[in-house]
Amino acid sequence: MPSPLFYLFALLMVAGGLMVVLMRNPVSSALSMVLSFIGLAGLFIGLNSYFVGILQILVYAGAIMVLFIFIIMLLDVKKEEKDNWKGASVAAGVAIPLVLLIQLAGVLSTVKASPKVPTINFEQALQHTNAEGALMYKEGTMIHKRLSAERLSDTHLIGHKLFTDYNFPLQVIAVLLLVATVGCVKLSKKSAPAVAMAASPPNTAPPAKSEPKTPVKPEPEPVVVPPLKKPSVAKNLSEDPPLHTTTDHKRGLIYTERPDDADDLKVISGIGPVLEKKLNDFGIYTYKQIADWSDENISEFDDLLSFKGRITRDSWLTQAAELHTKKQA
Amino acid sequence: MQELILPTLNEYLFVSGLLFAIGLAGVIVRRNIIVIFMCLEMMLAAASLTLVAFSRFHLVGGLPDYDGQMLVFFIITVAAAEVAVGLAIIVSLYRARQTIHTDDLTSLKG
Amino acid sequence: METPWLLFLIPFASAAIIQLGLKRNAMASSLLSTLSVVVSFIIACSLLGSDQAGSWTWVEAGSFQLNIGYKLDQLATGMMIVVTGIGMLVHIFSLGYMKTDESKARYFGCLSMFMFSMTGIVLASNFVMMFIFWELVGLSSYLLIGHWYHKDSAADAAKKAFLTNRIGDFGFMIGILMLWGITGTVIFADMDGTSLGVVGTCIAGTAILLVFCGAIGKSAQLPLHVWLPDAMEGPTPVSALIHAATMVAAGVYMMARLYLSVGADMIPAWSGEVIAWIGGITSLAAALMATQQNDIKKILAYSTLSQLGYMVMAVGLVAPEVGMFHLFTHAWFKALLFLGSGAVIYACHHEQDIWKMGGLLKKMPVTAITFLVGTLALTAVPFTAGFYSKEEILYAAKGSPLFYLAAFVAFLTTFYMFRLFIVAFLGKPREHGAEEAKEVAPIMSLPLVLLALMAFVAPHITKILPVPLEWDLHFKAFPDLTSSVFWTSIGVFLAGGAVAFVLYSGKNQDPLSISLFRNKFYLDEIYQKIITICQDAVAAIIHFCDEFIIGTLFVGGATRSAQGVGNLFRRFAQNGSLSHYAYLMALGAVLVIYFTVFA
Repeated sequence: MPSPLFYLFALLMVAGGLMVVLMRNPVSSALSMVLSFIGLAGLFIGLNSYFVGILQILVYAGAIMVLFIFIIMLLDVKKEEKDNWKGASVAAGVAIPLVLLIQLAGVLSTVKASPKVPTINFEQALQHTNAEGALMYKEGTMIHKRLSAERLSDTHLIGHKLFTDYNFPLQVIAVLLLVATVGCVKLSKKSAPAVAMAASPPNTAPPAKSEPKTPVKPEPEPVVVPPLKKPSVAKNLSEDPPLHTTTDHKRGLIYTERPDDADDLKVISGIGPVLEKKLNDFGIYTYKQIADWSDENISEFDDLLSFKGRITRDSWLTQAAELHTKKQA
Repeated sequence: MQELILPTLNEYLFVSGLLFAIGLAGVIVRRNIIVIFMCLEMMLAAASLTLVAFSRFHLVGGLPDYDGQMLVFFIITVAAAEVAVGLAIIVSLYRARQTIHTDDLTSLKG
Repeated sequence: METPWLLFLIPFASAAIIQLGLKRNAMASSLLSTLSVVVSFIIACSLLGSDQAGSWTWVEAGSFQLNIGYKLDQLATGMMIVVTGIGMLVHIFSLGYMKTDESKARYFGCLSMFMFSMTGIVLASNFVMMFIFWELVGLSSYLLIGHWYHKDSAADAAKKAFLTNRIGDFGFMIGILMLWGITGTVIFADMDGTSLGVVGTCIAGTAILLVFCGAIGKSAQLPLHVWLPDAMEGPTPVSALIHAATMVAAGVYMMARLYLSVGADMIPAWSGEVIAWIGGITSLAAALMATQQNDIKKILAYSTLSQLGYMVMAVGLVAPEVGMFHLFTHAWFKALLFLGSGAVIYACHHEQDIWKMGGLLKKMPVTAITFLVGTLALTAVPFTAGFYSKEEILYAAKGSPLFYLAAFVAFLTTFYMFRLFIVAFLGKPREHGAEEAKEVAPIMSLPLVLLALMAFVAPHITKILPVPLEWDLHFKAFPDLTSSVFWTSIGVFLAGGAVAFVLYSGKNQDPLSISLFRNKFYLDEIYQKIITICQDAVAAIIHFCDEFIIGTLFVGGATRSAQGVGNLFRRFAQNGSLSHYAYLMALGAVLVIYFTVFA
């Protein structure tokens, strides 16, 4: 393609790429990616590879990027804070690609003359013979017609090649796609919910979870959401443990200090180390506390942790109650 | 019009390298797993641009050498499958860890 | 087969047969051993005056050759008479003394072994052979001292003797090698003294002194004298043969042999001085220590030490003929004294403390008289053998301060010997054992009588004197009444006797109590301390090397550096951060590209 168009699409592609890397909002990154792929498709088409270009838009920009955006929305990903970009990794991230580019430039400069685009020779194509000596593109086929008309129908040519020379890889790819599909389905299934555990008799429950494991302290991580600690007057209720506790009417029973019988909250399906730490920051340490949550508490914590109904969805209360009774036993 | 300056192979290769480098920078710098994954896809795309460029510039029997474009076809397919599975994994990871921030995902440490 | 080879083979065969076959039959072994010695004595007598030499190639490597051979000359034949003669008498005495012992066969086997080794030293034709037999003699001494090895003290004494000898032998070996280097040969007959003059007095003197180290060890000079008193743990006949007459004299014999080969005048003066002073100080210290001992054998042992000091002093004063003469006479009367003490011990039911004896003159007259003869000979009463040899030594020492030393030692010798005689033989029996003493059997008293005879007669039989004809031993049968030496020796004799008589006659316990002498100048304790300190120091150094240098630095260092490097890489490469991993991969790729494309 003429140079101006080439540079235009190249610029589009590179600009899109840069925006993917530089933008903080993941959705913006995804959309810039789409832009970049469109530029790439333009470059493909400029190289007379029409089929690949269209495929790029259909599959890459169409399917893959859509999938990305779905997942971003599903996971409710927030904007990344600029502070999180560490200086060391930025330096490395700039230096290494730069060196790579310099090397590439070095290699490219050693070529005496950069090859120009060769013109397509249709007569030669028509006479092209395969290994046995017969004509590749037989008379009367669509390819032959198109080539005689001096039109490069690369879809047909690609199809011709795909189903003759690359037949076996094609079958394998098909199987691969099947496997990928099955894998995705399996991976995205939720693990067995706690409801099933409560229904089964207690002695068939897995014994490994019966004793509260000492929670493994995760690495000191930057806490994104600062905990809202409201120190209140300790009011001793009759059945509470004698440690520092308060009762917040919105949050239920909370500890101001880690008690001795703190439980491993990660055992509850749906709570990981980050979440456990957040709960601990809010003063939730034991299964009993979670099990005793009222609806008001649930909605309060839902807001605090921005869960949007996950507490009920994942049946935290039933799980916690089950674990607590097992602990007492 | 006959004096059209057409881009040479080197330019296509350089542009592809540039895209690859940008993707690499993204993988190293960004902290969000999903964005890292996207940059990874960008690197794959850059590779396929190289392949297509070579395919066009090398003639076999007067026509472009479609072997390169075959490979690109397969690459795109495999990339699609990989993205699907990878995102499924990320979703499971999110379910388990409630985070997609790579700074929190350091169990490989040691 | 030349006759002198028989002198080697007969005792060796006796020892071998006893060891291999006759261990159970004590009577047969004792008779075989005694017979072998008698035959050896006869052969030695027949070889008197001969001048043969013979050798047999042992090791040959290119132009280098080591022989086993014998060299007969007056020195050797005279010495052989001493060795076989006293050996014969000791064997006969042992037949009686060891009658009730339970390991008689082993005893006689070891005695034969000793005879073989001693013969080897005396007849040796070269230094290397002498060294081999030197070590063998040390071994035989170890076996014989430790004959009653069930007793801890005996086993320890045997070990002490061997180790002390070994220390001397170390210097001996270096000396032999130096002499070999200087003179170019180890064969006595071929050694040429002129090369000693070429190489300078310093090196020559050092070589001579190092060779003398062997004599310090074997002949128990200061500082390696500590083994001889402890060696009295062995049976008394062994003490008589080995530690009085023959083995301890081997050192003096070796020096005499050396002087003969190299030429007595080629010995540098300063080394001679050192040797003489070592001998002098040894004799003085030993005499002092002897004055306070209470065990009869220990007194005689220190007396031996003292007399050995005399011999070494004579050698050092470049009068080796006098030293050999004194060795000769001393062998007879010291053997007599030891065997006499053996008879006394046997009669008093193995009692060795002189303060528990007494009145033995009446109970055991023959023993007592022969013992008195020996005492007189030792204290150099005129007309005894000891008189002549001690006179010669005093003559040789005249003019140097060693003369006064020698005279003082003669005084002390008289003093402690008469102390011994007065306390043990005169007066009344003090203990039960002495009460029941009676004269020993003829098989034991006969050798005593013969030896007493030799104590008078020996110096006059010039044919058997182990003094080479080249050396001029001006032996006068009648003492020169005009010389001051004569009157000095008479004077010290009378003084010593008088003091002893005054202090000890009629006493029941020792009026003098000088703990420094009694405790042997505390030398044993000092050595113990030194050895402990050295050993601990060496052990500490090695421990340090092992634990710190090897353990902590090398092994630990290797470990820690491997760990450290590993940790470094771990902290760098595996910090869990995903972007870090991506960065490392990219870096790797960049490096690979660089090295494959550009480099």
